[in-house]
Amino acid sequence: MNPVILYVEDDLENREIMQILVKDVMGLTELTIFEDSKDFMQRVEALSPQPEVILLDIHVLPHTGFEMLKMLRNHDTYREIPVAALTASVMNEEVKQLKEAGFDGVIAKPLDMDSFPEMLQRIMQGENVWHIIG
Amino acid sequence: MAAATAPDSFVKQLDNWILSPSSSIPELERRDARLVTSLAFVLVISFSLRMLFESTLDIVVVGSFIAMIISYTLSRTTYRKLAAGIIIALLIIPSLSNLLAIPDSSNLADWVSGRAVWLALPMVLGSIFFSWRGILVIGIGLFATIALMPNFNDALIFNDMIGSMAIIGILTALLVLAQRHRFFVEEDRRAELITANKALEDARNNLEKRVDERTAELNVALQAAQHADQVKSAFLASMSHELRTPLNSVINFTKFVVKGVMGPVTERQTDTLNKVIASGQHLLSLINDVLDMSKIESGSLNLFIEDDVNPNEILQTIIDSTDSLLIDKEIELKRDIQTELPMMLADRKRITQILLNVVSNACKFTEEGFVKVSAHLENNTLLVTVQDTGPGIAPEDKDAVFTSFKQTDTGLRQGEGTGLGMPISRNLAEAHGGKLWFESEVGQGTTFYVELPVKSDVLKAMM
Repeated sequence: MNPVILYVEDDLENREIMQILVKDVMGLTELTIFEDSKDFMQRVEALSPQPEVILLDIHVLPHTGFEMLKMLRNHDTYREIPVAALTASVMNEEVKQLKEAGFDGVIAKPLDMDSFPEMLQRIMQGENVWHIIG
Repeated sequence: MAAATAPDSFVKQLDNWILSPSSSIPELERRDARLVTSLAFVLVISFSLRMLFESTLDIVVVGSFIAMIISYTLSRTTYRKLAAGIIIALLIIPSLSNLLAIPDSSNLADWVSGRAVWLALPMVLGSIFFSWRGILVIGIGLFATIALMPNFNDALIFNDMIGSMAIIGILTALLVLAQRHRFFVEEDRRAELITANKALEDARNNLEKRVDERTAELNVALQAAQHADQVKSAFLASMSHELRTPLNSVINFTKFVVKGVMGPVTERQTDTLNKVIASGQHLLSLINDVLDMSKIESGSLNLFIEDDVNPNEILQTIIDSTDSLLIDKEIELKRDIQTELPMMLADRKRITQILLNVVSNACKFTEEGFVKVSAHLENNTLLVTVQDTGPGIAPEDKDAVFTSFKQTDTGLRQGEGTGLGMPISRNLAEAHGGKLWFESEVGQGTTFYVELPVKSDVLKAMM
C-alpha cells in the first residue's frame, strides 16, 4: 500500500513530523503538503497523481479545515474521498463538530507514531474513526 | 459628649428632680388612665369654677364638658398649654378685679383666704406640669406663705378651704397619677413610635437604595470577574495549546530518534531518550490537567458522548497500563470485574481518564499489599471500586483531595502531579451524572468509588 496523501498544515514542526512519520517510519512515498489553504481547490486539482486521502488541519488560513472539507464535498471528483481532520484538541470537544461537518475521521495531534499508521489505514478503508487514540 | 460630663446646674438638677416621675406610683391601664384623667379634670375645673365665681351647676356642666374634650382629644403639650392658660386666666382675672378692691394690707390674709382655692390652683398647675414632687414643692411653699401671715388662724378656719383643698389635692393626685404614668406616657410613646416608624421607614428606603446600589456594584464586579474568568480560561486554553505544540514536537522527534528512524542508537542513548520522552509526557499530562481544570471552572467542558463505550475494554486497557506503575513494588493487582458489562452512553476518553486516575493513584500510593479493581452493574449504574492498602487519607485531608491544586501530605511527598487529577475526575464523573467519592482509614488503605449511569437521558440529549 502506497497511498497518495495530501496534508494541509501551517505548523512547520507538524509538517516535519508528518514527513518523517510517513516517509521514514511508514516508508510511504506519495506525500504532498500544503502550508496554507490559499487557492485550495485549484491546487488540489493540479496535483498529480491525485490524492487518495486528505488530512486537514483545522486552524489553517485563509480557509479553515471545515471550509476546505465543504469545497471537497461540493466537488464531483472529491465527493467521496476520505478526509480526516487533525485536531490538537486534547479531548473530544471538537469531535462532535467534526463529525457533523462530514469528516470521515479525526486524528489527534500530535501525531503519534504508534497509532497513526493504523488510523490512516482505517480511514483509507472507509472506516469512520472517531476515537482519538493516544 | 464632653459637655454631658459637666456637673448640671442647680436649676437643672432641681428641674430633673421635680420632673422625674416617682417610680413608686403603680401603672394603670390606659383605659383607666383616661377615665381617671377625665374625671379628675372635670372635677378640678368645675370645683375651681364654682369656688371662684360661686356659680351654679351650669358652669359645672360646661366646665365638665370642656374638661372631657380636653382630656380626650389633646396631646400632652397642647393639654399643658391649655391648662396653663385656663389656670392663669382663673388666677389673673379675679386677681385683677379684686386687687382694685383690696381695702388695706391688714385684710390681706382675709383676702387671700377668701380665695383659698387659688392655693389649690398652683397645685393643679404643678400636677399638670410637674410631678408629686412638684406638688409637694409648690404646696409647701404656699402653705408656708399662709402660715407666716399674721392672721393665720383666720385663714385656716375660713369656710371650706381645707375641705376644698383636700378634694382638689386628692383629685390632683389622681390626675397626676394618671397623667404621668399612663395616659401621657402613652401619648409620648405614640409620638416616639411615630418618630421611630418614620426613622424606620427612612432607614428602609435608605436600605433599599443601598441594596440597589450594592447590587449594581456587585453586578459590575460580577461581570468584571466573569470577564476576567473568561479571559483567564481563554488564556489558559491558548497557553496550553501553545505549550503543547512544541512539547509534542520534542516528544515526537525524540521518539523518532529512539525508534531508530534517524539511524542506529546505542542502548545508553535509548535509555536517556526514553527519559526525555517520559518527562515530556509527564509535562504534557500536567498541561492537559491545567487545561481541563480551566475548562471545568469556566463551564466550557463539553463531553463527546457515544453510545458504544465498552467499560470492560476500558478497564482492561487501564489494568494493562498499570504494569509500569507497579514495577519494583510487591503489590498484587486483584480484579473482580463483571464480564460483559453493558455498553455505556458516555465520553469514552473522559471515562478512561476518570478510571485511570483512580487506579493509577491507588498504584502510586500503595507500597505493599494489593490494589483491587471491582466493577459491577447495579440498577443501570456502573459501580467501579478501587481498593488499596496504601497509607490512607487522614480525615483532615479529606477535603484537600477534591480541591484544585491541593495535595495531601502523602501526595506532596510523592512529588508528582498537579493536585488536579481528583478534582477533574470528580467533575468529569458529575458531568456524566455520576459520582466519585472515597472511604479511607489511615494505615488501612483507601477505597475509591466511581458511580456512572450506564444510559442517561441527559447524556443522550448531548449526542
